[in-house]
Amino acid sequence: MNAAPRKLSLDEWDGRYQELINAGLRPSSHGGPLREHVTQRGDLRLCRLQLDNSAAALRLWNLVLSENDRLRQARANGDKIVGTMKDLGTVPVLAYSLPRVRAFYPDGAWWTPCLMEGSDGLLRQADALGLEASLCPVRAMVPAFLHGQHFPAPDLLICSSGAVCDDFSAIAQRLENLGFPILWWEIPRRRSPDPGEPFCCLPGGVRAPRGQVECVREELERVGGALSALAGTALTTSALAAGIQRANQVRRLLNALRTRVHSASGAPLPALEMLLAEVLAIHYCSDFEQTVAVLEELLAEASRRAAERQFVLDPGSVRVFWVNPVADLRALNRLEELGGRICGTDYMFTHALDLIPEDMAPLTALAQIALSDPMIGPATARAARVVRECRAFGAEAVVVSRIPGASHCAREGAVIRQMVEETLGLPTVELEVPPVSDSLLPVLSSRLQAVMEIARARRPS
Amino acid sequence: MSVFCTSPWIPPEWISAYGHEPRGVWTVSRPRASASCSEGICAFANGCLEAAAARVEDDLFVFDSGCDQMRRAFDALAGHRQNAFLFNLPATGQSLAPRRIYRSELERLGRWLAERGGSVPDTPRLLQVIRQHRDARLQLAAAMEGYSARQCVQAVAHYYAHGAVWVPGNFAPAPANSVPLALLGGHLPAGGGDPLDHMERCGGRIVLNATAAGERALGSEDEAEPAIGSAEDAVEFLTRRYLENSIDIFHRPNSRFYQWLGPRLHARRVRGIVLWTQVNCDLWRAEAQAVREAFGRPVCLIEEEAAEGLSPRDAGRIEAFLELLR
Repeated sequence: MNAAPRKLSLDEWDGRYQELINAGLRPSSHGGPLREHVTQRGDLRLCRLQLDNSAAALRLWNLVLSENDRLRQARANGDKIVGTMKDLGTVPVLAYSLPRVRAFYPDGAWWTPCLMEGSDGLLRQADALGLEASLCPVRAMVPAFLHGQHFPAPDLLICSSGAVCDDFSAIAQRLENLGFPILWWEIPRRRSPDPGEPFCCLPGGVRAPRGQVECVREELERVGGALSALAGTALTTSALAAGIQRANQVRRLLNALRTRVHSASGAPLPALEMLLAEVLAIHYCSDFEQTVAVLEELLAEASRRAAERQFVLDPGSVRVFWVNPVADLRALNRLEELGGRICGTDYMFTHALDLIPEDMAPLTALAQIALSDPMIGPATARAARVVRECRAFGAEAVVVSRIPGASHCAREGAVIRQMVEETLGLPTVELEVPPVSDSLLPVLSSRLQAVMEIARARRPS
Repeated sequence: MSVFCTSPWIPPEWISAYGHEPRGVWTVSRPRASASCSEGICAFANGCLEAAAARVEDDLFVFDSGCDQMRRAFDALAGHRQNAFLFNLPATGQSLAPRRIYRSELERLGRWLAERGGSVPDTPRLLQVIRQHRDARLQLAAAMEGYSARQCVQAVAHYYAHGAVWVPGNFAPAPANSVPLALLGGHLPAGGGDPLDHMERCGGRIVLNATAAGERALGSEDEAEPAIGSAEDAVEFLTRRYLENSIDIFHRPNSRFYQWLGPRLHARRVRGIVLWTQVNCDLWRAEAQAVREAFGRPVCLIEEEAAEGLSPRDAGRIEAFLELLR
């Protein structure tokens, strides 16, 4: 089934799928040929993407693109569905520690206008609801809730509030106004401990006052209580400890995969598939077992390719660290077409990649991980991590990708770029990627080309 | 020292009790729609940042975490200026954790104020200042309906700074046939300024100023008599008062804002609502449709970006709005 690594168009994937089947690949319960996502779900963007040709990538794409069907099936089977918003990786650990509970992120609907190339009409409908283009594309989730055509209405909706993006908070509040009750929990803005104040060292290399950790722990206990009531089963300490171990299983796999791919001399896997793999960490795409299986397969594929020095991109590609997720998946393809290669990322949920401590009370550990969220502390702390990882993976340039309308993007890009430039001397660029960026591709390309040109020029001759 | 606060929910009485002079930053700052605002920076948060950067080193600034933009403006300032403090304002109030956060922030602010020339108040002093502010708030809230728009803004600014009631006089009453309006939003430009005058010139009469520079800053009138026997009691009293009586849209859920607003719109026979926001203020802008749906009254959304007064476009919109309501 192995073939030389290549990126394929969807048309080419039709043939590749048949090859894999002929070679013995068994169709997955999550999908067959990728084209089905276009014909059955309207995911038109796939027709314009370049996708990795491995069986592992096929399984990954099928897992990610079939989530809504899976949630509906779970609902039909009597499972409870929890919509968790904004925290990106924390509440699902609680939810998946309970039997027959599935958590998902309605926020994920922000990619629907991209995947369906606007044919979903969600952003237009959001406009009509008063959620205009000045807000981030997550606004697509509000009409998705109202129409129920994308994901099933959750049995319980949970959202973090406090130190969150203004646009997201406003969108979630509008959702509640429209008749979807939300359990809000407080995540305070993480601050540095004052002199003499007791503090905790959090995963991810940041510190927070112990009092803040305790407050978040209490809030998560409250969320856990609501989840227990929904599940009809108490969330015990041992169940949560087991849930944390499972979360760490995914995080370890992902860290191994990221290290393998980002530190290899060439790119064993493309950026797009790596982005999807990272997203699996936040809620396992509603299927823990499949998430583990897919990550194991991706890791095996990346390891094999790296060992055989078979790369999907030119080994001379510029090593780029990418900050923030892209609203249009095609942007990552474009970077690679222009001679770049992702060697480090901060897609806003680095706290979902860090291991959750297993040597302390489980709720406290979860509170610590929640407080290490890069989006709730000062941008300088986020920038410091970017610098560390740029060093670790030998990045040659940094791209800060702005999310249209996102309040955090207004200032953080300048902070991150300044620290990277001053500390590492790397070239940086900031650009905004809308959900369907085709008309802006020439501009985006020029900016990406410019930063990579400078990076190449800095290489020792 | 003068202590400029970005939110009315940072207790001015706490600052006064430490011997400093509380000020609303909105009394000195104007929105600054600089080039950076095209990149999404909130004009008001930017104005606060620039005001803080430009003031003399003796002035203290207390930013609030009620919105992401203000939080990040503090981050931008903190790297260059020591005399700034970020007060973590909880967005929720359904549990004990937000109360503990607020309480701890008050204590931290107290220590910070003391380190910057303030004196730690004893219990009688705390009780005196807290009572003074409470009485002034209640007195003002009861009288607000009779004030003109300008009187309201100036009276609130005076209360915030001095904890006392002072109502400037000599304002000609608006004509009886003018259109009763409610003014909603975060902050008005320094001094209330020409938006109020313009609305009145166009035939409007602001019967409810629900901005942070107006009646909303007083919170709900449902205030308990302070029973304070110790500094801890004072902290607890202020925590409860400011968490339970603050009226704002960053709260989650923000139903208290709607519960506060609805009866006032009805009682004062408001016919139109002017929603005053600053450019790139997501929190207020996103409420426009919800306000329209909740109260069934027309809403005129103004996004202030000009540093000096109303832009011709906004002036025209207010004029057209009132023309249709008359």
